[in-house]
This record gives sequence, structure tokens and C-alpha cells, in this order.
Amino acid sequence: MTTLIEFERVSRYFLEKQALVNIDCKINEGEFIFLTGHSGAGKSTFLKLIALQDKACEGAVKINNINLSDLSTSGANAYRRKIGFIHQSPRFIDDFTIAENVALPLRLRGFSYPEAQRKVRAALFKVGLLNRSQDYFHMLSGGERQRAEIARALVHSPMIILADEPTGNLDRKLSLEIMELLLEFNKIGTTVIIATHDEFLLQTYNYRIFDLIQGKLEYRIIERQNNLVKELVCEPLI
Amino acid sequence: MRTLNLDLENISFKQRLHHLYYEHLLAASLGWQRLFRQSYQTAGAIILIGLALSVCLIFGLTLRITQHFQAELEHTSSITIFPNTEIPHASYQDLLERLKNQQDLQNLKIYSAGDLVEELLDKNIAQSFWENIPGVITASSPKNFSVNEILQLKKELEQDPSIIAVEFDQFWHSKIMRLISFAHILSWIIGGVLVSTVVLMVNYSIKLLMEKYKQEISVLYHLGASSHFIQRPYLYQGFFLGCFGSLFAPLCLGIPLFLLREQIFSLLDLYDVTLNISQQDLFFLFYILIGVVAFAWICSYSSTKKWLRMFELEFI
Repeated sequence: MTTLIEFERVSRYFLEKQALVNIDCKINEGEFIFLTGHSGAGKSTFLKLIALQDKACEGAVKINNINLSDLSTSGANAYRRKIGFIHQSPRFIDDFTIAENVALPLRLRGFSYPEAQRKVRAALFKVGLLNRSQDYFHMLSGGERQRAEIARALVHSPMIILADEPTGNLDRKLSLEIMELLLEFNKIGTTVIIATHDEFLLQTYNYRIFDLIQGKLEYRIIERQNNLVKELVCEPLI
Repeated sequence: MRTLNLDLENISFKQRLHHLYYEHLLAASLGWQRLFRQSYQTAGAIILIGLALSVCLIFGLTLRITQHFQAELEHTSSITIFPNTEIPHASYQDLLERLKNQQDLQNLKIYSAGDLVEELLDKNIAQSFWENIPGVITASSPKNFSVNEILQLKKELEQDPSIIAVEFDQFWHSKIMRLISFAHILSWIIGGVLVSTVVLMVNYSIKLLMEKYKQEISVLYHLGASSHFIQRPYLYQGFFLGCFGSLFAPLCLGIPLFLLREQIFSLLDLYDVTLNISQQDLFFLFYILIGVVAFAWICSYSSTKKWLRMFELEFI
């Protein structure tokens, strides 16, 4: 197992508020991680630091042993193009149709128009929005917006998928469908980190859990024995 | 296992060109759509650019007409020579002959007075000049004569012992010259003010626009779009505004000119000036329009760059 993401004593402050404090952690290539914690614990900040949408005040965030803060502008843009980020509140370009919005990551990566179209149709089909492809963002409901955001994050087969409450606006059935979709990506080697409050998801899927408490990281593993769920607080695995 | 490669995608030159073509098409269509989405702002910007340009055009046209007048008037500038009335007839004739043969005066039409007029008319070298004033010779300068040349000639003639005085009506000329230089300075000042207005206007419009689309910029930025990619729709928008503004300007200018055409032509007839919109004038207009479009593009480029840099600092 190769380490893909590494946090070295990372801290992030917002004025006097500490979002993350001295975080040390390693995430392997192809790993599936749940990130949990109460509201304001720093889950979004954690994901944003990996996605290079934010910068650490102290410490280093490394990807493949490359410190993200050392990347040049073009290097940072190239890195961002390989990340799939699912935001808690979806953000789209209002003047573009859903298909055009979903095609954006492909266009940025230099895919030809017909190829991009083909991939967009496939992604929209996966999230059940193929019939809404020519609609605009404001015409979609909350759940549809969330699914469109997921389609955009997955359409270019990113190397890392970061999801901030991806199932927050979805019903249970759809949540499980989306989780299966993310698992499919994980099976082909994509590293997936999901920030969620949803205890049902945490208990349904047996993966490593990062628990953020007041900006500090704790590690949990949920064990299942005879349909009974047992939660263990443990030392970091890596 | 898939590894994270931070290098840019290796795509061929042809693919890159193809990609660039689609990018520009996308940006242009986005810029075009937004013009109509913010119809009031667009209309305001077009009207302001058009008005600013039409004022520039009015000044340009006025300058051209003034220069035309200047050229026409210079052709009829006259020099009056007062020969010594005491000199004998033969000497007077000799003086005329000398003036006629003088290198600088060869192209001059000489108007003389007194008893020599008829003789000169016979020789086809002179025309009678208003009233016959004995002992006065009036010469009008030809087209290729400049004021400085006439002044030089005046100095030379004054040294001739058979000439008492030489007058050159410089007053009107200096008045016109002063007027033209004043118009030049004024047009530069007004041009400067208008250019600054257009710069500020485009800059402010782009700022408002980018503030409005801040979320969209952040989305693109977080998806890994380069500054060039983000900039393009705004650049196209500036380009379209420049195009429409520069098309609006001749309309602003053309309508009053068309409505006032009779008055303008009768005024020009008074001064015996014919005004034709020649091919040259159309080219002049075309160059101005191209200049405005390029200027609007440059303005949008500099302002988008400036505001994007500020947003980027905000995003990270």
C-alpha cells in the first residue's frame, strides 16, 4: 500500500477559531475513508485542504510526497483537475445547462466535444438525471442538484473523490445508490473520502473512520459481530 | 493501482488546437448570452461607448474640415507689393518682368494695377484685381506654396530698392492657425478624458460582472480552470460591447448629419468648400472602429486580469 495523502502537523485557523489542530494522518491509495464529527469540527476544512481549495496555516499536506503548497499555479490547476469534489451545497454555472456543467471537468482536461458528450450522458444516466440534461440548475430540486454535483465530480474519473455530505439531501434509497456508485469507483483504485454525519452509512459500510473532535483527529473502526455493531476507538492504523 | 500524475495531459498539437477552438466557441457563446441576460447594463455600456466614440468622431471630422479650410484658404493667400511710384515706367515694367522671372514667383499669379494691367492681361500672366490701384501689385500664392516660403519671399522683395513695402496678410492666417492648434489641444484633452471614461467604465462594468459571477468563478477555479479559461467569456463580452458601441457611434453621428444635411451643405457652399465622403474617409472611420474594438478588448483584458487576481487571493 502506497501512501497517497499525508497530513504533517497540519493546523488551520480562522481568525481565533481553530478548525484543525496538529493533524497527522496518512491515507493510502485506493482507500475508502469516512470523515465524521460534529458540525463545525473541521470536516469541510479537512477536505478543502486536500482539494487545494484552502491552505494550511501550519504543517504540510502532501500528495504522492509532493507538498501542495509547493505547486506552481499550473501545477495546482492540473492537480485540481484530477480531484472530484462533491460539495455540501452544490454550486453550478447558472448560464450552462446541466449537461454543459457536468462536461466542464472533461473540457478542462482536453476531452473532445463528442467524447465529453458521451461521458456526460453516461454520468447523468448513472445518477438518474439523463432526462434533465438540457435543463438549467435553477430548474432542479435539492436532491437533483446534489445528484448533478455528484455526476460532475465523477464524470472525469478522478484520482481522488472528496465528498462533503454527499447524501445530505437524498433519501435513503438514493443515498445507498450513490454510495454504491462511489464504491464502484473505489474498486478501480480511486481513493474516496466522505465527510458525513449519517450514522447509518457509517454502520452499513465497514471502512476506516476519521473522527474529528474540536479540530483533533481520532480513529474509529466499527466491527460487526452477529449483526451487532461494536465501535472501537483505536490508534491510527498507519 | 492508479497513480496521481501531476503533469498536464499529453495531447497532440492538433487535439490542442481543436480543444482551443471549442473553448473559444464556448466562451464566445457565454459572453454573447450574458449580453442579453443583463440587457440594461449592456445597453448602458453600448450607449456610453457609442457616445464617447461619436464625440471623438465629431472632433476628428471637425479637425478634418478645418484642415480642409486651411488648405483652401492658404491657396488664396496673397502678397501685396508696393513698388516705388517714383520709378519710371520702364523700370516698373522691368520690376514686373523680374518678379515674373524670379524663381519663387514663377508659379505666382501676378495681379498688377495701373496702366500695366492690360499689357499683362495680353500676355496672359495677370488678371485684374478688384479695383485698379495704381502702383500696387498683388500676387496670390499657388497651392504648393507654404506660409514660410511666402514669408521668405517677402523678406527678399523688401530688399529690392524699387519696392517700398511688401505686405502679407498674415493676420487671418495666424488666427486660423491658433484656432486649429487650440482645436488640436482641445481634441487631445477631450480624447484623453473620453479614453479614461471608457477605461473606467469597462473596468467598473467588468468588476460588477465578476462580482456577480463570483461563485461561478470560484466553481471554475476549484475545478482546475486556468485564469485564461475563466477570463475568456468576459473578454468576449468586452469585445462584443466594443463592436456594438462602435457601430452605435456612426449611427449617433449619421442621424444628425442626415437631418442637418441641407444646412451643412449650404454653409459649406458659402465658403466654396465641397465635402465628399470619400473612400479615404470611410477607411478613416473603419480604422477608428477597429481601434475601439481593440481598445475595448484590451480594457476588458486588463480589468479581468486585475479582478481575477484579487479573487484568486480570496479563494485560497
